[in-house]
Amino acid sequence: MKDKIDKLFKHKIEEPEKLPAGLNWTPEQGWENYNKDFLQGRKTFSLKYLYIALAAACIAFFAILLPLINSDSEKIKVVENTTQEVMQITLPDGSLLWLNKNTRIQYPARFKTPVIEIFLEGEAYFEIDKSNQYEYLVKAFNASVRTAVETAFNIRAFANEKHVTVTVARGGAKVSGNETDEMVLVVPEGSYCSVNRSEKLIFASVNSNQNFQAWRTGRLIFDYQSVASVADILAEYFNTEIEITDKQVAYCMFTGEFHKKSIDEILQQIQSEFKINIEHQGSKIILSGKGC
Amino acid sequence: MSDKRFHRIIQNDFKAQKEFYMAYSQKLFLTIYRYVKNEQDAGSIINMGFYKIFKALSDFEYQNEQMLVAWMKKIMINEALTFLRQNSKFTNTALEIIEEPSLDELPSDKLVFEDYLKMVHELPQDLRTVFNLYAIDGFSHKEIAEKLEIKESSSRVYLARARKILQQKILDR
Repeated sequence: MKDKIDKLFKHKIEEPEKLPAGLNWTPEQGWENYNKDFLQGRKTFSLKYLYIALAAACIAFFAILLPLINSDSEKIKVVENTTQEVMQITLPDGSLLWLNKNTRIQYPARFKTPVIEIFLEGEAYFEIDKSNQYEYLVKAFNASVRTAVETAFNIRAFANEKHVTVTVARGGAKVSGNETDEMVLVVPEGSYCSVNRSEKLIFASVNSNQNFQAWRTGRLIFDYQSVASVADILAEYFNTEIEITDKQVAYCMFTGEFHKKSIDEILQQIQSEFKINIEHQGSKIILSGKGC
Repeated sequence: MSDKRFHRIIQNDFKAQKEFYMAYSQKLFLTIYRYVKNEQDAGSIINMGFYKIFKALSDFEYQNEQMLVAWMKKIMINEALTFLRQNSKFTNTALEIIEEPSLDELPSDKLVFEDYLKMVHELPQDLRTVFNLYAIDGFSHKEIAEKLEIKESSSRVYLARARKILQQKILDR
């Protein structure tokens, strides 16, 4: 039987209970390396050894000559928002940054180079200071966003979504869909740009979504919008599911503005204007009725 | 495993990713380490693989534990093959008739897992890769030929040579 050898080896080495003796690798060690290589951004991966060598040389040099020097100039700062609240941070140049839940960002601890490279995964709102003298380069998956002027913009780049969306509230930004910058779109104030993560497709258009920064401000605005589209926005914002069972309800046009209101309060306001039944079925909300 | 745990991983929940890594990394490391005999290389490959797994989990439809592990093993094997190919391409070989070994006597009980792993590690890269893919991980010659960009006939020859060498090694012990 020629596959006797196969079977013997399969039995012995396919799934052993333990790691072979004499190895240094352990899951703990592996995870520590994973953190270093991936969670602090891919960029540091290739430059890691150069940084280590440079840092070692600098430390040796300054340890003798200048014991008081601050050696954290090369440091990269990583902030991860694992809380359920929006987090606000101030960048070294005074620019403001808001981080949504489940967002991780990486930026230089001190701004020394003319281009400030920032890595983002999740959703963040940048308000870049008027006195800013740096060029910002924000990278989120395959999307790169550059801006050098006073700008306020929102980047949404979650791992489970197919697009990276950049919305410019003030100023302007240049967006490209890959590292080589083959195609760069200039996104002006009041526009948004969507970058497809897998196909590298990119397009820009006038932004009609007034609620793009609702996650940060807690303000939801509906300007003569169908209940169907209001339901979509509420479902995303409150991370729930809303189903509309009657067509008459879906096309009622609703106008309203809410600040830090619960989903129930908003639905009650809609209910006060139209004939709508609200039913909670587990985590799902069902809207039905005669409508308007 | 609940979908909730996946959901947190996809949302980049640090703790959930760590938990997942701790649960599966040893098994996957051992898979890679059969293909790549350098520990440091295997350590880089597994992390590249986990990076891809975390990214791809949102498209994975969880049915059971066994399928999850099989899916992850496939990703890791592909990473290992990519790595091996970077170092040296897989090549074709001339047809040859090799007398298939017949393992008549059972090997000594003294041989442990490490001994068998060492024998596989000692095979030349082409033979080791084909033996791992075919005998341990259950790929067909057709699949191996596609993966390594070699002819099916070469895959068969490598397998036969690997079996023969391994048999000799067992007898020598």
